[in-house]
Amino acid sequence: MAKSADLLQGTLDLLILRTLEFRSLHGVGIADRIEQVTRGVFIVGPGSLFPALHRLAEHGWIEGQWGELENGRRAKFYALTASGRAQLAKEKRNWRRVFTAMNQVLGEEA
Amino acid sequence: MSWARRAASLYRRLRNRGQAEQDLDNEVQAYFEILIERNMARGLSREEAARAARIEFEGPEQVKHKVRDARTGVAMETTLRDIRYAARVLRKAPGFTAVAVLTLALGIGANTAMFSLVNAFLLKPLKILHPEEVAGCYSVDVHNPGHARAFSYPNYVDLREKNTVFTSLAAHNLAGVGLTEGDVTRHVSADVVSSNYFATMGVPLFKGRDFTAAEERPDAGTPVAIVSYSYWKKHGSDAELPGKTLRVDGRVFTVVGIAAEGFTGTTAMMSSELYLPLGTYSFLANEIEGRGHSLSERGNYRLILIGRLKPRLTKREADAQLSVVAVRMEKAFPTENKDQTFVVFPLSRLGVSPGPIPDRRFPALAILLLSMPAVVLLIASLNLANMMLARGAARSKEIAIRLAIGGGRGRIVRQLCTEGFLLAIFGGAAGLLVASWGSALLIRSLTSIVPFDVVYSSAPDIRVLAATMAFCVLSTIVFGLWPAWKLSRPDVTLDLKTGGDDAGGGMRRLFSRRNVLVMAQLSLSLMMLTASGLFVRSAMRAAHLEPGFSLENEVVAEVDPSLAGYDETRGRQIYEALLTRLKNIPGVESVSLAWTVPFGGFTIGGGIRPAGDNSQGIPVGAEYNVVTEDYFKTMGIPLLLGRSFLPSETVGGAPPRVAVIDKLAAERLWPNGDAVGKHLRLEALPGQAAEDREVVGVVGTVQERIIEGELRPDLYVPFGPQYRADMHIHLKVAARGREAQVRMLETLRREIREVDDGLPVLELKTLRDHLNESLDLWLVETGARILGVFGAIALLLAVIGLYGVRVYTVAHRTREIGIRMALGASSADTRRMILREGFMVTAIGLACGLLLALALGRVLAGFLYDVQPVDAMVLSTAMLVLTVVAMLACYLPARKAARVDPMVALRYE
Repeated sequence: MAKSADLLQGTLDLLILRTLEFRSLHGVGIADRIEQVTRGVFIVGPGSLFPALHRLAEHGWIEGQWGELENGRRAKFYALTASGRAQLAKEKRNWRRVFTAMNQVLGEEA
Repeated sequence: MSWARRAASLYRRLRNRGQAEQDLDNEVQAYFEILIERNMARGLSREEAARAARIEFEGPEQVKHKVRDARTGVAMETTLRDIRYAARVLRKAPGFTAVAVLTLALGIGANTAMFSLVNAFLLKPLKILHPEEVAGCYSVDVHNPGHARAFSYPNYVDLREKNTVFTSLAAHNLAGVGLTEGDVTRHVSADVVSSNYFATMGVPLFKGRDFTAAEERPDAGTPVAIVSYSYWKKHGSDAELPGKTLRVDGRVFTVVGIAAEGFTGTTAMMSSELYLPLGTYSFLANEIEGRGHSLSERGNYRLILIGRLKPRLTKREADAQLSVVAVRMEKAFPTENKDQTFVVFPLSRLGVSPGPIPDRRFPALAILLLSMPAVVLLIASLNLANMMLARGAARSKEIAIRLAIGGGRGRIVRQLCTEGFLLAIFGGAAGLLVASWGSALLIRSLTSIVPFDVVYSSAPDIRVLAATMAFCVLSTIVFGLWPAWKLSRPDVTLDLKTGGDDAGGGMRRLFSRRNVLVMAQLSLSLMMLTASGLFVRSAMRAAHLEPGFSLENEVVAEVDPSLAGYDETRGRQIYEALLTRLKNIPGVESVSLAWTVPFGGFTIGGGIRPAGDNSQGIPVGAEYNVVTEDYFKTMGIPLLLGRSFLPSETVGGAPPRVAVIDKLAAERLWPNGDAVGKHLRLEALPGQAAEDREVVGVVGTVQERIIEGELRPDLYVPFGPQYRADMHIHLKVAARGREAQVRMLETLRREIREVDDGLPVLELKTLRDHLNESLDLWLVETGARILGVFGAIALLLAVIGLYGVRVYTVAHRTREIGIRMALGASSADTRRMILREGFMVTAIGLACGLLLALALGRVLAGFLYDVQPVDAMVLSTAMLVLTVVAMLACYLPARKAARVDPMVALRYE
């Protein structure tokens, strides 16, 4: 759930994939990481995070596996798969295109 | 996620939704705990941390619900996308799609058609309320439980009233009757039933009323009838039919009811057209046995019982309770009920009999019937597998790209399978049409030769649809999943670079995937061709059989004075007049009477043994026939020893106790001696006591059946003492050729009318036509026709498959051929090279096929009429046909290869 800004359709997917690009994380870790990196612009609650994670897993882009935290607590860690990496690359390209286009529109207005 | 892991997770989810749910629960719980811990790490107390976590977490149930939605959403989205994509791909290749759908339509259609018939005979529930409660009740010998006999009416009534086993117990038997409609009298099967028959079945009439208890009483003779639904349909669906009359056996019957639609009694598909009350049983003419005995006699065993068991009663309990009743009944009537006990058995769907018939032989036949089209479908699927592989090779670039960008192998397999399954679904839909058309055709031809209503709906029911779906899925696995699995190999690019699996040395190329598929097709189609060859040969043998009597220039007529209401005295007069009159027609060489006719609707079996042989051994089973003196002369059956009957022996009055037997009976009764002059004992036939007869002659053995073609001994007794109303008239005529025979038949019909205007002529045709229209020949010929079609399809598919692969190979090796030719290979060399591989593929395919064909021959020889397990003629013909067309399929592409221009070829690719 985005509190500060409405997430564009598909943006959350991109954020999650990007977050998992270099390491695997559990659910809370992903949410915290997104909040931290976007400096609090995107706060992702479990109500949005869980469906997104499972949707991505169902597509085969990420994969969840039970593991242990330092304090011994069990949590499900998500990691990017090969096709997830391809999907991330594709979505990055897509996003840049949209981003550039939007900037042009806004720039012309200004 | 790997394909296997994904499949495993899908399987787990389907198998065990609970486990996936549990996993989600754990995950949500863990998340919640970590939130609390994080909040505590930020300095909150445990309670505050938990509260904050709960606020952040809107509610675990809601979250889980959203997760479930997301999962199904993705699954559906993926499937829909796959289907859309597959449809687009197939639309872009209309030629391939059309050939594939057509191939599958033939393969699946053949299977669905066969399955529809097996379904109708063996699987489809009968139109009976709770059929599992309905069972046959049989009277068996305590000392010999395999020996069952029918019930007498008084025993039936006692059992109906005293048993504790059935909620309702009905009695019935079938009787052949003559149904007169206008000028024509037809032989039809009537079910003579107790008044509670329809109530026991739990199937109320469509219209009208059941028979009453008064109508059931033996010898009541109230002429009322209930007709089948299809009889009503065939007669214009007349709403006023109840109350109208029809003529049965020369009597006027009033229709009182119409049976329910689709009701076929306890048998599948075959139904009587007429139902008559038990009270008319003793009056029905044409009744084969027990003439002149009233149904009210306790010693007249005529009835077959059908009971509705009390719910949840097992056979063991029922038998135990029935045996108690049987003991009591034996005490009350020791003569008739000696050593009889009662048992229940499931009813046969295939016939009505006084004893239990296990339907065991028929599943074996059904499996055989179903396995033939299964082979056709296998060939079709192998063919398609090759087409898919070839197409896949063309699409390997697309597949390689998808693999390279990390599209999981599972996704690609799934995509390709969706394409295959879409083809199979279209093929299956077309196959359903083919099947309903084919089976309707078959049923129509069957209807024309049996004296039953054939109740068959060509509209597929749920079982047929499910089976068709199964055929679609199975064929998709062969032609979709397997190629998809091969094509999506991660090293597919390597495959591309090295020129795929056709590269490499001779042996490796010869046994490349494509060639092996073609070999399999060729061997299976050789097997099918051999099977159809054996069927055709069997039918040809049957059509040209030499049954031991003459089939040419023979005419058979069937009349029955009792159908016109004439008694025995009048009947004898009519037969005498007929014999005299017909004998004097110019062109008629000889005339005689006979009770049963070879390849006719029925035969009567009797046990014979040498007179004075008092051993309890099994008597020789013989076909029993009643004939007049000129029978053997008319039929062209050679008289081997002794004499035929004298005219004095075939007229009414004092019965001379004589008999003529055939060679087979003579050999069995007196293996080392002259039979003529000896006496034989004929075991009691129903309605007539055991008797001794003197053998006066021995004649040649005749064949009376095609199916179960084993020869049976024959016993002939003279007409005269043994009056039968329903006799066949045999005539030997001089007329040769179709036209002359047709004229002769017209003359005969006119002459019979002259003798008695009211005498119904049930049959009048040449003996050859009589044989051609027999059920036996129909079965053999229809089998041959069906297998012929299967064989043709198999041949066509295999040849198309071979041709396709040869064309593909040549196209694939154009560059290589170009180089060879540039280096000096001649056109002839090239052609030889390409042909050689084709020859090898064909030779290996045929060699494997020969083994299959030999194995199948052994199986078929047990089923087919007059067929040897190894039929050199059929095998060599099948091999020759396949070889010739295969060579053609190899030659055309090879010729093309020989015309390759090296310059063009080198620039190719």
